[in-house]
Parts: sequence; C-alpha cells; structure tokens
Amino acid sequence: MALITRGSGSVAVLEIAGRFDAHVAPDVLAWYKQTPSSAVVVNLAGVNFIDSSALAALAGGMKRCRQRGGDLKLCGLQQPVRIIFELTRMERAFDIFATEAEAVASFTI
Amino acid sequence: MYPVSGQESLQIMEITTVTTAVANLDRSGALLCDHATAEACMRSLRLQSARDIDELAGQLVETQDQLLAMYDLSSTTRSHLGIGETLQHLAREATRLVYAQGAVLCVGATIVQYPTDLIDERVVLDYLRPDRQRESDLLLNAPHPALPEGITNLCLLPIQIRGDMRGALALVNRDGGFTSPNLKLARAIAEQAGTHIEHALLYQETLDQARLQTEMAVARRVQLQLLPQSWPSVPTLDIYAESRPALEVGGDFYDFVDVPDRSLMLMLGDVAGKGVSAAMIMGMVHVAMRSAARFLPDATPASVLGRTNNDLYDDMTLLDSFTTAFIAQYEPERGLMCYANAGHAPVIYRPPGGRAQLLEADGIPLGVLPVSLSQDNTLAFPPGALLVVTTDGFSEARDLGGAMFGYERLLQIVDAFADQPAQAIARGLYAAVDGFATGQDQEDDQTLIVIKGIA
Repeated sequence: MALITRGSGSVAVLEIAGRFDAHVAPDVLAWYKQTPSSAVVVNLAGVNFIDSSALAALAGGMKRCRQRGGDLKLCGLQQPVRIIFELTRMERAFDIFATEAEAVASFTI
Repeated sequence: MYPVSGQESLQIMEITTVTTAVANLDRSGALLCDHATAEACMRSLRLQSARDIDELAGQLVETQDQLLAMYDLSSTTRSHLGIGETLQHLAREATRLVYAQGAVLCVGATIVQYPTDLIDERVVLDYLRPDRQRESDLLLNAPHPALPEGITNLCLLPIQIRGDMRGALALVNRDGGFTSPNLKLARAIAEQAGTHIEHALLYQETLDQARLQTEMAVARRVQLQLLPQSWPSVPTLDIYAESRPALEVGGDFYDFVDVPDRSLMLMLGDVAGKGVSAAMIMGMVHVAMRSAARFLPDATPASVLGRTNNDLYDDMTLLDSFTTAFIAQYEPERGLMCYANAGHAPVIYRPPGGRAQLLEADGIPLGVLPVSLSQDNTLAFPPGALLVVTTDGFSEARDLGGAMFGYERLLQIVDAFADQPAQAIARGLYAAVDGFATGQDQEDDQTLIVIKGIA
C-alpha cells in the first residue's frame, strides 16, 4: 500500500495503490490535512479493492474540498472498484474520470 | 553530612569498573638494591599481600551480604503486584540496603519516593527528567547548586525496562557519601528493580485488558439488546433478523417499526467502518431513523431516509463517516413491498418461482450529500416472495486465499434455501459464509433481515 502525491498546477494529485481499506483510510484523511489545495484528484488506478471506510475517507475529502469552493475528483477506477461505486451509488456523489489527465484538466474548464 | 563550602569544587565521577588495590612495585629497581633493601622489599610485599587477602575476604563477606540482601529484596517484592506498590517497596528497600536517607524511583511518568516527603514532587520531576535517558550512573558526592535543596549527595542509576532505559533509581543523602561497594549494591538493586517493574507492568496491563474486555462485553450486550428481540407478528410475513458484530461491538443495525395505524417498516443500516467508533455513530443513526419512521407524517421509506440524512449530515461530516441503509414498508392489502435504498448492498429479491436477483440502490449513502437521492420503489410481494437484506460483511468475507464470498454465492444460497422458512434461510447464509471463511477472523459485521411472503 502506497500513497504518492504530486502537484499538477494548482491541482493536488493523490495516487493510491493496493487494497484501499480501513488501514489506509486514516492516512488519506491525514493527507487532506496537510494538503492546502482544495482542487484534488485521487487516482485509484492501482487500487483493486475498496471498502466502506475507504469510501468514507473519499467522501470526507470531497466534502472538505467542496466546502472550500473546490472539489475532489476520482479517476482510474478498476472494475471491482467501479462495481462498489455503482452498488453504493457513490458514483452519483463524485465526478469520476477515466484518466488522471482528464480529471486534472476538468478543474481548468 | 558534608560542610558546605563555596570553594569546594564538585566531584563528578563516571564510574565504570570497581578497581581493586594492586601493589605497584618497581620490580626492576628491586633487583638492583642491596640485601637489606631486598628484605625490606619482601616485607613490604608480604604486608601488601596480607592487605590484599584481607580486602578480598572483606569483599567476599560484603558480596555474601549483598546476595542475601538481594534475595530478600527479590522475595519480598514478588508479593507486591501493582506498579505503585512495587515502586514504593523497592524505594524503601533500596534506602534500607544502601543506608541512604531516601530513594526516588521513576518509571515513565510515575515517580515514587521514600520517605514520601523527601523532595518536592516538582523538583523531582525537573531533576530526573533530563537524566531519564542516561545510560551510565551519576554520582554527586558533594553539595552542588544543581542539587535540590536538602540533598547533599546523590547516586542516580538508570533502570532498564523491556530493553530500554526507561526508569531511574536515585539514592540520596548517605552519611559519608556513596562508596564503590555502595554503588555496586545500588546497581544490583537497580537491575533487580527493572525485572520487578517489568512484572508489575505486565500485571497492570493484564488487569487493564481484563477490565476493558469486561466493559466491551457489557457494551456488546447493551448493543445487541437494543436490537429487536422479537419480530413483528404479521399473518402474511415470515420474518427473521440477526446481527453478528466482527468485534465486540459493531456498526450494523436493524429494526422494525410496527405501530398502530402505520404500515410495518423494516430497516437495516451499516455505518462505514467497524468497532467502537462505528458503534457509537450507529446508535445515533438508529435512533434518528426509528424516530423518523414513527413520527414523520405519512412516512415512506424515502421520506424516512431523507429526514435521517437531514438530521445527521453535519455530524457525519464532522466524523468522516456515512451510513448505507435500506428501508422497506409492507402493504398487505396491495401485496406490495415499498422500499428505498440509500447505497446499501447487497439486497436480494426473489419473486415466487423466479431467480434471486440483486436489488440495486438508487440513492447515495446517508451523510454524503446534503440531500438524499433515494426514491420509493415497489416490489410485488405475494406468498413465496423473498427479500433478503444483508450487509457487506457477507459479500466481502474472504477465504484463506483472499478470494471474496461475492454476490453470486449469496444469490445461489438464497435460491437453494428459498423453500425454507426465514430462519432456515438465515442459518444457511451464516453457515455458508462461515464455511467459506474458515480459518479467517470475521472481518466485518454480518447482519441480515429475511422476509418471506406466506399464504
């Protein structure tokens, strides 16, 4: 499990890999606290499993960003992760893109 | 006691080994001297040898005394179990054995002194803290401005606890100062103290753990008792519900709201996460949802979800949490089950004679957006129809190889047990998931409601 952070202009990108579950969720919540940008893209291309704690961490980040006039967008959902988003209807709450480039670009439009 | 003198300089000795007196004779010089001188040399050598033997004998007796003292210390300390009691006993015994005026023992944040009013507690803290990480002994055998008031000499020894220098023993005010044998004994006491403190800490931890386990067992009983202990009696429904938390307490709940002049409502919720934090949020969500179902005018599943979302959105945001929930409302006159689903899965519906299928949610979980997007839907619910609402503790259970139980297996079991009563279907589901995840700890709460239409 690894968190990789990079900046893309004013957009902060968080890349997560492996199982995204209750063990990782606190690290992601901590990451928001140290990230000044309210324009965030979370790249889930390397994530093969996501649980409810992880979804809660993403929803928490999305709410923080929106409160500050920004947003948290997602990209690179693998099939098992996409299924969880569809079953919980969380795809209705997030802006989801196929690639990181598209997600980052969506902030400038 | 030493007289205090301004000119007297402080003696600080870092002691590493105890030295024994050794005759220091110049042997090459002895060969050159005359007979008389040689005899004088021999006499002095013999005298020196006799002194050495006396000293060795003295040390032997002293060592024996110390061994005996250490044995006493060890056997009497063993009967003290609490950390405070152990420290008090050790401080008292160290004082007695070294003939000091008092002793201070500090372990972590705990400081114990004997006698109790030896030094001001704050001074002790200030003084011992910087020395806590010392790996060697410190001996202050003369009064010094750095010494706390009333302390004329001091011997400070680190205590190793669980491989770390995490404690210290300070012996203070010994008449005549601390000598090498005193230090040796003190060092042996510090070493013994480390072992006794380790035992006391272990005992304390075991005790704390037992207490916590008792508390958690009570919490589990309370939580399970707050779930309905009996199912509503409806002539055309066979109902069964059960919840199994993964840990002592969990974030799943189910409830039935069966009040006069209102249609029966069945609800099930799953707070993200598990354990104590999920359990506390669950209590809040459960109450909010039940109140909405009982008191909201013209309550429908969707309006109850919407109201609960309104009530809890801010709290859920603060806590970085959300809740998936499913609510069904039975209308026996029309043979219908009205339902709304806030991001909950898996929910399984099986029409009479048909195949089990997943009932997908239309709304997002509660607490994610300020408005709930769930809407009311209806299902035909004649005799033989089956609704199985479970939590993801079933579908996400993993076997030893890491494979997930998944939805397909759930659907197959519901089909296989469809002719059985509600309780047998629930038993079948629990047995299947237990069998699948044999050898693995239950990872998430497993809760279900089984509702079957009967003639």
